Order: sequence, then structure tokens, then C-alpha cells
Amino acid sequence: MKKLHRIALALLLAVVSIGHSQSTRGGTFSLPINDDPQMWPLVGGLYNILVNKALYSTLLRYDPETLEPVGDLAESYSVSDDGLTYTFKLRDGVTWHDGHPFDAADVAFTIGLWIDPEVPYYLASNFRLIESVEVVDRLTVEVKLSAPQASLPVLLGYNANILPQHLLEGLSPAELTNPTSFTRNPVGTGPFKFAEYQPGSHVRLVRYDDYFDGVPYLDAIVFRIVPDANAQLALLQSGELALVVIEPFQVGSVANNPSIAVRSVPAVRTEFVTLNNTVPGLDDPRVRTALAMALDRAQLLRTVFADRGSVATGPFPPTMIGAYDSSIEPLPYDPEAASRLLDEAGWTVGPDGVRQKDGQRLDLEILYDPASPTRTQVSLIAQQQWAAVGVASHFDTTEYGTILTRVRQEVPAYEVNPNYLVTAPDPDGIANYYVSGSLANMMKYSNPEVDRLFNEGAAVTDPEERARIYHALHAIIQEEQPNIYLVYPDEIQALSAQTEHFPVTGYRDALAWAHLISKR
Amino acid sequence: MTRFVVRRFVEALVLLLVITAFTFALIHAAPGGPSILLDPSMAPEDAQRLRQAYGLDQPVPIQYMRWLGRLSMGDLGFSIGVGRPVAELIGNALPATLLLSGTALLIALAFGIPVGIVAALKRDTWLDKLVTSLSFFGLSMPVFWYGLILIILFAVNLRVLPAGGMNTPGSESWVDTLAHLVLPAFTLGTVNMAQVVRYTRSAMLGAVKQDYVRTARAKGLRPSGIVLKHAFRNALIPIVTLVGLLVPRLVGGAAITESVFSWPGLGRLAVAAASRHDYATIMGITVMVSVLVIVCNLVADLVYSALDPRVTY
Repeated sequence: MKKLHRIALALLLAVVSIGHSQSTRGGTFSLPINDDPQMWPLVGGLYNILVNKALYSTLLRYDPETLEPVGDLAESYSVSDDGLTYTFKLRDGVTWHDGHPFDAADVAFTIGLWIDPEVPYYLASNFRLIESVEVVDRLTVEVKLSAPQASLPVLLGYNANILPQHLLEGLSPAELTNPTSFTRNPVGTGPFKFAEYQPGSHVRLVRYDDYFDGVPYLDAIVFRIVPDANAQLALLQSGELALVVIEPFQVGSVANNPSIAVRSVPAVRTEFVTLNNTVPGLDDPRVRTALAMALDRAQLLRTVFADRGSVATGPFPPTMIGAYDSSIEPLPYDPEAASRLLDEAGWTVGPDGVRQKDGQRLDLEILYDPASPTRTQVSLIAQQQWAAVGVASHFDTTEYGTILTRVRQEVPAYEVNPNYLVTAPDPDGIANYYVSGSLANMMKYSNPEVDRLFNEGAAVTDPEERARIYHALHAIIQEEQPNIYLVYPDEIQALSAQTEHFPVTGYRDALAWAHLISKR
Repeated sequence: MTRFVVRRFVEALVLLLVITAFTFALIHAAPGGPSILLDPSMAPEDAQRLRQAYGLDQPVPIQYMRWLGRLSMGDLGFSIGVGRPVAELIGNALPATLLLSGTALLIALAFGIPVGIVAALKRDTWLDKLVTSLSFFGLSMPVFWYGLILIILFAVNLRVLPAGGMNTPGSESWVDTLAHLVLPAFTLGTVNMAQVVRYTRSAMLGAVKQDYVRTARAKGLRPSGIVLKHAFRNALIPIVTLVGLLVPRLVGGAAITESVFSWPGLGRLAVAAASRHDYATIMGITVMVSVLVIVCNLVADLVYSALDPRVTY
């Protein structure tokens, strides 16, 4: 055993209980979700994930402050010296919402589903290195990997809910895609248990008194299905919702409301402009760097992102544990230097004021989703500021789903696309978007050194060694700008002033601590 | 009469087949695919596996034949977006929609018809002009804007009515549902009322000029009797046509009102299904609304013959 991770849960609990000494019990906490949740963790969708956070538990969850994985159903875990065996010690005395005791067999059963090629689990790739899982005793599980995977603990906390074996055993893989018999009355180990689901209206979860981490303070959590952003804000202002995660342009509508507190929390999110690196012009790192330097990202942060976040320097946001290199400065906003770089790359200003090379004009097509005000504004500002250095651009607009299909294929059908990425707080989660040949690599960026470093980083567990690898990656990617990195936006939470102890972190991760939330 | 109904029924089946084939082709031609497969944080390989599990990797004609096969056995399919059978989703949404549209229709008819009659009888007076301008205003007002104004006024500022939803989660009291019903029913009702006023007014104007009305008047019948028994009954025919058109639109098409007020009805279900490319649900609603339109038209035709002895089939 090289390392033994001990989780200071007792300490955390002590801190929490001091913090709660004056808070009241009871009350309902309501938040909106955009669509009908399946309440089934094997499929994705933020609306589904959010409900599952309060309903089910994971082996590990993220400490709200550091985003480090700490114990949830697992009390502690250890890794073997070769990094191939993880042993999880489970909490004793945990029960499912139907009263059935939870034990190691449930964990082994669930991990078995994730790695079963017959069962479609939307995050199966996260656990592709798990070779086998074994029950050692009632409260110990051993997971064997085919290769070391440093990101495993983080990924176990990322939408990887543990499911009850006693209710799901025997279902066929086809039934497991949508087990309505189970999801009509889903049973988890989370702080809130299922009470009611009205599709198109709401899901109501009520306090689970036997929750293993202390009796929840709230009586109920209600997820209201409200896709319309205006309707969400109206419900917040009328006091029918307690939390709405808002877009930067909405800050003004709630900023002066005394019954609503607006706060920003760091998110594991990057906003960038994806560049198709196979398009003439964009295949040259100098042109890509010039486009980045011609775009005033600090101004974008102030105007489009309501000054909530920081200017991005690469693929890893500061929340990405041990990967973000704070010594790397953002590329300066410098249109003159950008012009020089473009000249150097052979793209010189033609008679119509637009740069050209070998008879081809530098006229880029910006593909964006007009339903997103943020990315619409980014597109408009990019067009203006690029025009100032002689780069022309025009727009193509369509819905996000179509954009995602167009950019993610063998031969991507786009040139420039403002986009974003939300991942687990581990840099290995980014690898898929950068390594050569991956479908998720929308830029079709390819650099053998980057491939090598991402592969190396995936296996290394030593924090210093990891930092060295990912800092090197950060530097190379900053140098080559396969994307234009814009902003690491904060998540902007508009919270009812009655809410107390909502963990100061992104709301998905906060909901894994839903038992701590209380209402004045 | 029986032959007429049978012929219309056969026509309806053919029509339904054409509508569903066209809709099926159309929604599958739209690029993107089900949103559940479009999470950017999901690896493309995992998305592909889900696509196979849902049978979405099959050619569209085969998917259509499979869907048709299930439909012929009365199975509307399964919504992969919600993880529930489509029939169940429609079954849940239908009562909500009927409550909202029924109330709205009631408001529209209860106020629209009398106002329309009065406007026609007082033609070209200030009252008529007021009604005419108000109904134009009602017809041209965008529902999403009007609905939001009502929400801001009554829910956000005055806080006397809820801003959305059909009930307070956890509450089963009908008073609570009624409070939630007021704003959306009023919004939808006033817009439809404007239409009913316009139709009633012009139909009445036509009817009071008829010879039989003059005759009735010459015979010295009471004016209220003339208006209600003679003129109005004849004016009803275009109004019945309008109601025949309004009913399916109210059931399937209250999408905007339902979205603004987060009302869990069919219109919103359709909007949600369309935006998440939930093929089975879109098809289920298409079938239901198509059947409804066909049936309502048939019923309207049959009601004509009851109202107007000259119309026979």
C-alpha cells in the first residue's frame, strides 16, 4: 500500500454541526430543471443528474471547497503500489430508502453494470480501465484496473451513483436502459427519498430520516421542470423557487432584489472558440494565436460574462485539481502583434482590406447557437475585433444539438465555433478532447507530444509528478492555441435569501451535500 | 348518413398514414438527434452505444415500420427522453390541458358570444367601436408577452397568484390548482375571446339583415326573441365552425401559454419533445392531435346538419 487516503469525515461533520447550531429544521427547497428527469443514473442530462445527486449516493463525492474526492458511501480507500488495485472501505449502517441494508454487493453490482459492454451507461468510457470488481467482505470492495488510472477517485464522484442490487438484479441489459418498474419508485441511499413525480411539472423528494450522514435539515427538495429562462426568473422573484443558476445577462434583473442573493462560485468550465485546425489558415498556430490576440478576452469577461470568472489561459480551469498552472499568463490583447503574426504567416491584407494568401481570402464562418445569448455576443464581438486586423467572418446559426453533431465527426463541418466544456475536476477528463484521432477532438488537433503527455498523466498518481505533466501540457497548448481560450466563467447562483448553508460550490456538487441545506 | 361517416373514416385512416409518414421523415431529417445523446461530456463511443440500445442506428424507413407496427397494436412507444411510455405521458398531460383549454374556451364563449351579439346590434356606436378595437388588440397581442406581463403584475409584484405550475408541489387541494389556473386560463381565454367576438359580430350582422328577421319583426315578435331564436341560431353556424377549429388548437396548441406558465399540459409536452428530439413522443402527440382534428371536423359537419335542415349527408 503506497498511500492510504484517510478522510477526515468526523472533523468535517463537527464543523458542519457547529455551523448549523442555529439553523431551523423543515421547509422545502425548490430549484428548476430544464427537462423531465428519468431518475436513472445510467443515462445523462443535467436535469437527471441533479435529481440523482439528492436521491442516490456515490462512492466518493467532492469536498465543496477543494473539489477533492472525499468519502460518501466509501469511508476510505487505498491504492496498491502498482496503482492497479483500489480497495474501498464502505460505511457501516447505511440503508436503502426501502430499509434494505446497503453493502459491498451493491457496489460490486453497480460497477459490474458500468463495465458490462451490453449495458449502455453514458459514462462507461470513464471506467473502461476497470477489469474486475470483487466483494472482499460485507464492507470492502476491491476494484482491479488493467492500467493505472489516477482520475478514478474523481470519476467515481462524477455522476456515478450506486444502485440497489436487490431491486435491479436479474433485469436484462435492454430492461436496464429504461427500467420503468424501478424508476416509478426509485430507491437510493441519498439524503432525500422519492415522493412524487409529475412529468412536465415537478419531482418531489422528501427527507430520509435514516440518512447515513445525519438527518437532513429540509423537509423536502422540489425540482420544478421549467425550461423557460424567463419563467424561472419569475418563479424565483415570486418566491416559488429558492435557487436559479443564471446566465451573466440575467444578473441585472435580480441584482437589486433584497430577497435574492447573487453569488459566484468557481465551476469546472471553460468557454472557448473552437477552431477547425484542418481549415486553411487555421492550420497555422500563428494564425490561431493571432486570432486570440486580436480578441479582447478581458473585455469579454467584463461585458459578456458580467465580470464573473477569469480570463482563460488553456484547457484546464483553476478548479482542475493539480493541473492549472497559475504562472501562465493569458495571451495579451494586442491587435498590432496579431497583425504582425498574420503577415508573418503569409496572410497579407488584400485590396478589399481582407487578408489573403495564395489567392484565398481569410473569411471565416462562425457557427453558433442563437439560443445562447452568451455565445451570440461572443460571435458578434469576435467578428468586429477580427475585422480590425483584416480577418473577415460571417455567421451560420443553428441549434446546439446540430452544432455538436457537426463539430464532432471524422471530418468536422465547421470552421469556427464558440463552445464550452464542463467536465469532472480532473485533467484526465480533458484528454479525450485533445488526443489525436478522438471523435471528441473537434479541432482535429494532433500533436504527438500532447498525446504522450496526456497518456502519461492518466496513469500518474503522485501529485507533484502529475502537476509537472499537466503544466507542460498547459504550456504547449497555450503555445499552439488549438482553440481560442476565452474565460473560465463562474457559476452564477441566484439564491433566495431564506436559504442557508447551501455549499459554496457548483450546484451539482452542492446537491451531493443536500442534507446540509436549510431554510430560515 | 352512415355512408358519409364510413367514407370519412376511411379517408381519415389514409390521411393519418400520410401525416405520420411525413412527420416521421421530417423529424428524422432534422439534424442533431435526441438530446440525451448530445451531452458534450459524454464520449462519442458511449453515445453510439446508447444509440444502438434505442434502435436509432437503424434506417429511418425501418424505424417507421417498427413504430407503425407498434401503433397498430395500440402502443404509442416509449419516450427515451423521460423514460416513460408515451401513452402515459399523454395521459398525464391531457387532463391538465383539458382543464386549462376547457376553462379558456368557456371564458371565450361565455364572454365572447354576448359581447359579439351586443356589438352587432349596436353596430357603429362607440360601444361597437370599443369592442372591435379591444378584440383587435386581443388578437394581435403575443401570448408570451401578455402572459409574462400578467405574471410580473400578479405573481412577482402583488404576489396574489402563483407564477407557474399547476399546483404547489405536495399539495392536492383543488383551491390551490384553481389559483394556479387563473392566470393561464385568463391569458388563453382572452386571446380566444377576441376571435369569438369577431366571428359572432360578423355572423350576427349577416343574420339580422335576412328577410326572415324582417318578417319576424313585422309580425311584432319581441326583439329579444328575434335576436336569440331567429338571428342567433343562424349565426351559430360559423361560430360552430370556429369552435370546431378552436378545440383541437386548444388541446394541441396551447404550447406558448403552457410554456410561459409551466403548465404541465400537452402543448408543453410537445415543445419539450421537439426540443429534445424525443421522436416517440412527437409521433404520439401527432397521432393524437391528428385524430382529434379529424374527429372535430366530422362532428362540426354533423352539427351543421342538426342546426341547418338544408344540410344533409
